[in-house]
Amino acid sequence: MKKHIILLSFLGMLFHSCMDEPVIQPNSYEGNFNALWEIIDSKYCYLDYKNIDWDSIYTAYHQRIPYIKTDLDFFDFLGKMLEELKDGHVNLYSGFDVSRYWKWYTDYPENFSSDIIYSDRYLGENYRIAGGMRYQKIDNGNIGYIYYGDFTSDFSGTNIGYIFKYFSNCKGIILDVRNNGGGYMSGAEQLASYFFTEKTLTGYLCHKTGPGHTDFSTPIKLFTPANKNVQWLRPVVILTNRMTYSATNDFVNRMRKAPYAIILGDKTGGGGGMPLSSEIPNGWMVRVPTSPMFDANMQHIEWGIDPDINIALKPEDAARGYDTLIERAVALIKFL
Amino acid sequence: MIQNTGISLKQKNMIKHSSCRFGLIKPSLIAGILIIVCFSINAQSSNQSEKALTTSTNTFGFSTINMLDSYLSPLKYSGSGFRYENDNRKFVSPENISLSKENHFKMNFGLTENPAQTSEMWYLGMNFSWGMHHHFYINENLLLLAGCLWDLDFMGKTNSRNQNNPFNIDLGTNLNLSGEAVYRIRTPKRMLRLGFSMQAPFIGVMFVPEQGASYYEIFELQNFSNTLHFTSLHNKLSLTENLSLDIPFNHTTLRFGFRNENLKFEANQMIFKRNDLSFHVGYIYDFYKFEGTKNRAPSGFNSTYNY
Repeated sequence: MKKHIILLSFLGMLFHSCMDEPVIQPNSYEGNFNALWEIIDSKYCYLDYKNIDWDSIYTAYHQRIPYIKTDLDFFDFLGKMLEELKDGHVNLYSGFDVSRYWKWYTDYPENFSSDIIYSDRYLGENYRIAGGMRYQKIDNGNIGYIYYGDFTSDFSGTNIGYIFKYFSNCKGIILDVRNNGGGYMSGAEQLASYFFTEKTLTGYLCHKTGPGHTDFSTPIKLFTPANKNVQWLRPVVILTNRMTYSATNDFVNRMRKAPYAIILGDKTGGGGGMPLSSEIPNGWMVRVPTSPMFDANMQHIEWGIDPDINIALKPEDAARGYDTLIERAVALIKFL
Repeated sequence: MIQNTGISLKQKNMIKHSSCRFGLIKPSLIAGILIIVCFSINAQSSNQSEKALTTSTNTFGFSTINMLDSYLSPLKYSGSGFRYENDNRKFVSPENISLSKENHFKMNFGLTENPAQTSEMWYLGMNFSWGMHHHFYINENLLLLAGCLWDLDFMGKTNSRNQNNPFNIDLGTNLNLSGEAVYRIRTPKRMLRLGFSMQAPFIGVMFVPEQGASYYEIFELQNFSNTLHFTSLHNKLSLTENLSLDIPFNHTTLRFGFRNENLKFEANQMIFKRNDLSFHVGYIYDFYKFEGTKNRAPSGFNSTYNY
């Protein structure tokens, strides 16, 4: 009996040791720094792809910790370390600030003017709104123009059906997703589905499975289905700029395979990694991409998607109240 | 059990008192009365077969909880919540008082916070279990039970601050070993019932997402690969202890108790943990269920359904 008790106790200890709990860093500058560094080291999906030597970044930044005196300084210090990842999806959230990396669009021409698209030449004052989409007929009613600036604005098949019906006499439509910083991935898939005639492979997705930099799941195929009820089977030109990011980047990637679609404008901003949230001991939240997305050829879309026609907003056109991209899209649709 | 025992003791006392009186009455009269009594007892036995009552317990509790969900956060969250539990137990057959069957429903919900109190995590848990226990009557006061329970366990947790991983589900089914000890404490006014039970899963299946997988990928793209895991003592340890004291009053029997639940499991290189300590109060009653066409209520029982 005594032997059995000892054996059971031993087994119990063995089982417990198999499930060692992760070490929670203390809530100090040192502890929070280590916690953040470990989160990135174990979860961030682009360390190898971007050739980032995260260990050397630890060494470079760790030595600066003793000189940090305030929480504000500490926040800026951690934000600076996260900037090394060059990723717009990586943010640190505190009660007083949000760290961000915006160079993916601030280092490039904007190629978009809100004043111009809301001028009488395009949307004007009497544009219509359905499911977050602002739409109007332009070029004497020959072309439909839709501006969609946020993939967190829900829309339905009914919304899209009304819009397409409104444009039923148009030769083609322009779908402007410039300055659309993303939102729901499901929205990207849904919007793309109205321009497909059959279910099409448009990309791949995988995710981190462990702390190793190469611990990834087997990529799964991302299909874009064809909507059964509403389809636009005429030319559609997608307008992009560097602020076309995240879920919108995924939308553009899908539209590359749509049969009547042309991508026009600047390269998109990218943001191909789907971010999950984590936190450090002082309660600051960090957003970290863990799921890289790829195009149909298994190429990363983290750095953006090249348009079919690369064109910039010309200052002289802008001075006249013309949007070079829209004008080119109108000409293109008329030509097709 | 308490009520059954109470009735039998009462009957014994009645017989005892009766025999004292019988000593004062003439033998012929005694014989006559005995014949009548025997006939009446025979008549009763033939009319009423024994029925197994269901003992139902409803408890309400307040708990303090600590949890670690590595999918949602690397930090331990702590807080408090409420719990409700309904237990039903009856003998498998009225003649066999060594084997009982039972079902349990537990529900708990509450709110936890991270140590810095900058983030909240809500949880809602439900557990359904069915099983059997063998009753070992050690002596007239001590009863031991050993058995097995199969359960379906669910706990949803949501951390509204998170993006793309705002909630997680602990979903599993387990075969549990269960043991219970009941000790009757006789006091001059009433008989108390002190109970202690333990329950631990030893085999099952659970759902655990991979650490980098978003719920978009799992549920919208339906990529369930590596989310279902066989569980046993190597990756899931849990122990639920329950200490209770039942006190019968004139019209109800109340239960007061403490419950301690410890759960720890590991999958996909993540550790999950939950410690829940609760104080609960409840009430106990026995009932008999009349249902269907073959088991209709006898005359004398009015029902709003069978009016």
